[in-house]
Amino acid sequence: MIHKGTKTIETERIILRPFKTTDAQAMFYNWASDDEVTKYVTWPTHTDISVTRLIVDTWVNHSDEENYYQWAVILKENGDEPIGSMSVVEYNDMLENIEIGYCIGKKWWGKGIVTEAFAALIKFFFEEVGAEKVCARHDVDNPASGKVMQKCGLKFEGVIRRELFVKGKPRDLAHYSILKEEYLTDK
Amino acid sequence: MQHKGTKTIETERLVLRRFETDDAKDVYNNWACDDDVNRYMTSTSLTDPSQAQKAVDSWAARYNDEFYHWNITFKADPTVKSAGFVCVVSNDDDAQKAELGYCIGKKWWNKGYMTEAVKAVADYLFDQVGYNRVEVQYDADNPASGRVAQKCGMQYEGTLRQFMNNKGKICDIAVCSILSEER
Repeated sequence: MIHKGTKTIETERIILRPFKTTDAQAMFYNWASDDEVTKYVTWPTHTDISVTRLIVDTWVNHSDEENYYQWAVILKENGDEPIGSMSVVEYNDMLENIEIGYCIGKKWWGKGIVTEAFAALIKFFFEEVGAEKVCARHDVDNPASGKVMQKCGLKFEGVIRRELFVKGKPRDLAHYSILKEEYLTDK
Repeated sequence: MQHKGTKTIETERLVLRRFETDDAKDVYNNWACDDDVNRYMTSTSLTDPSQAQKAVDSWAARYNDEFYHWNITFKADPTVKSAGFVCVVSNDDDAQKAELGYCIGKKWWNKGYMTEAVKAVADYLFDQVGYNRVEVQYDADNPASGRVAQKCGMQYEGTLRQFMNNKGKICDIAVCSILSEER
């Protein structure tokens, strides 16, 4: 793989771009302070905007690194404010695989926005970065996240039980992946 | 978690115990030198008994409360100093889970010894140490390893594709596990 960093990517309805320090407010109000959005993610709901500011600052500080991937999801019809985020949770250079994670504000659920963003990232990682596999995991109690994976052409691999403790509770995680050859065949 | 390290475990036919320095010869001859035994392991087969001595000595020196590495021996035949091993390959105490690795010399294949050993170690990790999940990960091309896991009562959870680079080969990795309450 040749890492390319958080490159700006544009699709029909959205723009994926690096975070700016001024995004903290939108992130806090649009998704990070919402218990429903954070229910299945590993981090706790932000109860104060200072937490969001700190995190966004960290992302901004890393944003010019070639192996750092943290995108703000911008819905074109909604101006320049982020409504969610897409990121690389983990990557492995030896296996040339990339794991993607995402979350988006409740207001924008069920509109295919994450699917559109994830599909764009799959294309980016296979065609530009040279990945061999793109994978993702979701909590089995959060099937909506799995629907996104299926719509993006990822195949279900299995459920690893009690894989992680999240917020004090053991969670079962469903694993999905798409291989480069599958991407090229289905394209 | 109440770590206890590699304590001796007795089963119907086996004694699982720590490796000791004079086990090295049997380690080499009975399993470590054998390409068939090592094919799907992350280790390569050894080509010289001195390598086995080095490995055994390093295990013997590492024993402490958090190092789990059992030598498989037989109750009925104390002349066999090592038939194989069962060990904790990785553990995540926050998630209360441990991953096991194992092998046994070819002449003891298909006699249920491996199952007996793995089951006893899993029970030990559940009952004595306090893990809640014991899993094995194996090359999907090596279903024999999966049969051992399933005979121990583990459930097949799935195959993670292109999940590991083992000795230059990109492998699909099958995962089996048993949860504490499933026994």
